[in-house]
Amino acid sequence: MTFTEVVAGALDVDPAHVTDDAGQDTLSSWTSMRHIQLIVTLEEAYGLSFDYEEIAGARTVRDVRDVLRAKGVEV
Amino acid sequence: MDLVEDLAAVRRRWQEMAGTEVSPVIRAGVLASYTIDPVLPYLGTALHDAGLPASFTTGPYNQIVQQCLDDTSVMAAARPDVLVVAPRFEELGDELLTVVDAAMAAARRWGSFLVLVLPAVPEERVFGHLDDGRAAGTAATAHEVRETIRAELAGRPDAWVVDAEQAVRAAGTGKAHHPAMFKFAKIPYTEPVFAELGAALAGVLRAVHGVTPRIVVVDRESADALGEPLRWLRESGARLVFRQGQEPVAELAEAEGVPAGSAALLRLGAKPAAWRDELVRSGLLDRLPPPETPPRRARRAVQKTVSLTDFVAGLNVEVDLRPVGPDSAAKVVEVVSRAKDFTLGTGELDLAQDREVFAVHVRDKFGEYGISGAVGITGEGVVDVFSLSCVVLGKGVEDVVLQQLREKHGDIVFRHRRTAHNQITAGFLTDAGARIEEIP
Repeated sequence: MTFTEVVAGALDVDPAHVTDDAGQDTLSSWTSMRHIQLIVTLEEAYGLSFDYEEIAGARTVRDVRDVLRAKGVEV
Repeated sequence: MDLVEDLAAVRRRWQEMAGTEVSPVIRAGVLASYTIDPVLPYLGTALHDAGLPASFTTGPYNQIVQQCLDDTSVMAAARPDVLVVAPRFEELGDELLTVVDAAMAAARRWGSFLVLVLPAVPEERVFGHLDDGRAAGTAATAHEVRETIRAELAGRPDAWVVDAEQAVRAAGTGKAHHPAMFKFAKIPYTEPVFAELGAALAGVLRAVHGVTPRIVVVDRESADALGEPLRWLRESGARLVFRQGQEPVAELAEAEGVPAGSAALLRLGAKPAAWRDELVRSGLLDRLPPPETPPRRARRAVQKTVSLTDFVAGLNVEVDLRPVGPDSAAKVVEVVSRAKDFTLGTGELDLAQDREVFAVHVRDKFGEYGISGAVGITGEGVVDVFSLSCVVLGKGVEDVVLQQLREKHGDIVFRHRRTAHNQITAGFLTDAGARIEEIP
């Protein structure tokens, strides 16, 4: 599964809407519960853990991508 | 990876099921001292697969007693068929038995079947390596309370117990907790723990509704390779029916004289090492212990259920409003932005605007919550910021803040905008007789 597919699946949106600028303020389905589901799904998909600051700071797709890249994941 | 993929598949199924309309057979209410929502996909899909589609009402974070004793609470309004109550020592400490008493009283009033999730023994031990040697240690105290609860509920026809400790052990204690997610959303456990809890809860509810499989259908051609699982099934009292071809399970059930829901097809994965876990999770090994087995310890003397007022008073809540300074500004902005339930809904907090802003500090008998909210008031007496973190709701904090505002500023007005989530704020202000300026 690609990064885009993982994010789209967790947030229940069309993959076309998973752009770097998309975020909690632009995607109505990115609720607080979906945010948790997104983090859990990413942790499982890439076998890593987010710390508190990373969970709280990931407000856009770009933020999420940056966190994963900082952990050595190529996305 | 198999387990991870399985759990993800369950969550996806639950997400898809949320979009379909099914009349629930079970209306379940779920109260916990932590955020328990992650259990719902596992519990909901297991019940759905057992022919028991369920709807869920979840109560607010750590307000079990308040929800159980307040006749105007969300849960009281729902009057669920099944009330699942999941307290933890970490949030409730010595109030845990009060929670159990309140839950039992509420279940009786509402006619609900009570499923109490026995709290897991806390990981942190008060006395470190020396904790195990004294009755005052964390482990000894926790086991004492756990067994008191079990004795309290054992043998009751209207209650059952599910053990969170077992779910933690099944996931592995090293992989059971998620400290970052707990700090962020008060979710203490990882998905495998919630999956185990969901399976256990579903097992109880299947039994309550009489759909624990009484016969297990086994494909004849695979039977030779399944010696051990078939032995486990026989030992658990399951009746095995071997089918030669692809006859529908329902037909075989009818031929055996049991309802279709009481028969299940044995499905196991490719890895023999995982078969035992798969069978446990499927519920096929579930069977009721003999009803005449007495509890191992005596029940407590009949308890008088504490009143909601007494419970809140006993929390010894202290609320302190302190002007926001450079050291607290970032935290206050974060708390306001994250408050969804108790907030005036007026948007992000801008500390540059001309108004006084106070950080709300809260502590109670369980400890210090730090900055748990904020309140902002203009020179004209308009309160346009009043946000509290869900962690401190249900403790009367909002009443204290309102009282302090009124004492200091006299006649004040609250600027309020309705959002999808902040109904309780408007309800509180209305009940308190506050003046509200509604904005679009």
